[in-house]
Amino acid sequence: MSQDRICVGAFAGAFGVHGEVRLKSFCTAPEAIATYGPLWTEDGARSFTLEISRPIANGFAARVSGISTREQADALRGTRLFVDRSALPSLPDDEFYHADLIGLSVYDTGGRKLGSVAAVHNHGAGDILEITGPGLDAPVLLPFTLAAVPTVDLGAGRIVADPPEGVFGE
Amino acid sequence: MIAAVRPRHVLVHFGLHKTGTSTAERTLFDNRALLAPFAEFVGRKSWPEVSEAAKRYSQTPTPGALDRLGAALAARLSDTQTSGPTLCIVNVDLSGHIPGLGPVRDYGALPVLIGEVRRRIEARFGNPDLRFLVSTRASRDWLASLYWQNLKVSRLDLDREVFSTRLAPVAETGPLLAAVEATLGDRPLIRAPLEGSRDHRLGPAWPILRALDVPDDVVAAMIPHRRLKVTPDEETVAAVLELNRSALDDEECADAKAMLIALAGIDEG
Repeated sequence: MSQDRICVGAFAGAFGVHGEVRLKSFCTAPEAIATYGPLWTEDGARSFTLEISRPIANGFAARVSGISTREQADALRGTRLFVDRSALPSLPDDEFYHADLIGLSVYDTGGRKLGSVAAVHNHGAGDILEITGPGLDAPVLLPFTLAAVPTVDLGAGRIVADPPEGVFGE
Repeated sequence: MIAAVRPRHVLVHFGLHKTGTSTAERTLFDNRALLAPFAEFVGRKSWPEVSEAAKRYSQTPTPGALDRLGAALAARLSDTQTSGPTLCIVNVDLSGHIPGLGPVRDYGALPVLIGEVRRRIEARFGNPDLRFLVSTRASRDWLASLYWQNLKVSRLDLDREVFSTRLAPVAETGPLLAAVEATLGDRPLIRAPLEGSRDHRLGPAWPILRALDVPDDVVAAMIPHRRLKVTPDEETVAAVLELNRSALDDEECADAKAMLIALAGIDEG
């Protein structure tokens, strides 16, 4: 699944009686949630600017733009907060997260589609891509090495594979 | 998933059968809007082909059947977002078919099933905070509940005592769960005896809420699922047993049992 918007947190209801919200962060550094600019609802219909007041159990107390009463804060309960992935720092070139690879289309060097990435396994000897597709009788396991997978283009949602002979049964 | 966002946490509650799993699932789904900041729930019917594949493997534990489960799970997991609140999978079918005196007589397939679930989740999310939760029940009560379930859904014609004697080894879950733990490696398996949540307002959902670290005020605001009446009286048990032993064909028998159970005011457990 390609994700252009990333869920970085959620409102968990009012905190206190002065219009603060309880904020849950899914960021690696939890307080970083307030540093990515406006946060959006999943459909992009509303945006919020946050200011963290202080840490509390299971999250933060925060002030939210346009929210000044307990009732307004409570009405936000359950709202998940998203940012454009382009607003977030990413890994250096040639490093990928497993989840970014899942679902990418797999093409051979001649441009023929071989299948798509169903899973990424690691049993201790390097990452292995599991490729499935309508033309494959069984999942194909492909070493995730520069030689076997010379190109990964997350933007285009595809990888180019140059598999060792016989891997795809030909 | 990108560097600034932590890998999604995952909690898998896979059973066992007849330990309050349906009540727990319904409680969580009834309150899912309230719980949305803390968990996204996937239930038994959310991923039906996954449930079906797990049950089939328990009946016919072949490599092909396991591959089909893995593929079904991978396909569903690939559609989940990689960031967000904890992904909480509550699906007793991941334990396979309920044991009885039909083709599936024990939980022999369970460690392999749960091992596959673990592998697929790790393959999707990399190295998530992944935990498993299993609910259990005292063996005598569990066997009585298992007997009733089998009476309802099959033509079981044995007395409860005979049935309980035959299935007694299945009720001893210690070795089974040790085997499950062995397949989980460093992934924790939380054990939740049903007796430990019986007096809690939210019943068997409580250990799951605790594992999800849901704050007390949110738990207090949750609406309990109505208590299901799943324990039949002795007359109803005897009457259903007699129907199973009757000359009625299977369809007639099932209809008669359904009517009897409805008249007795007993819920599906």
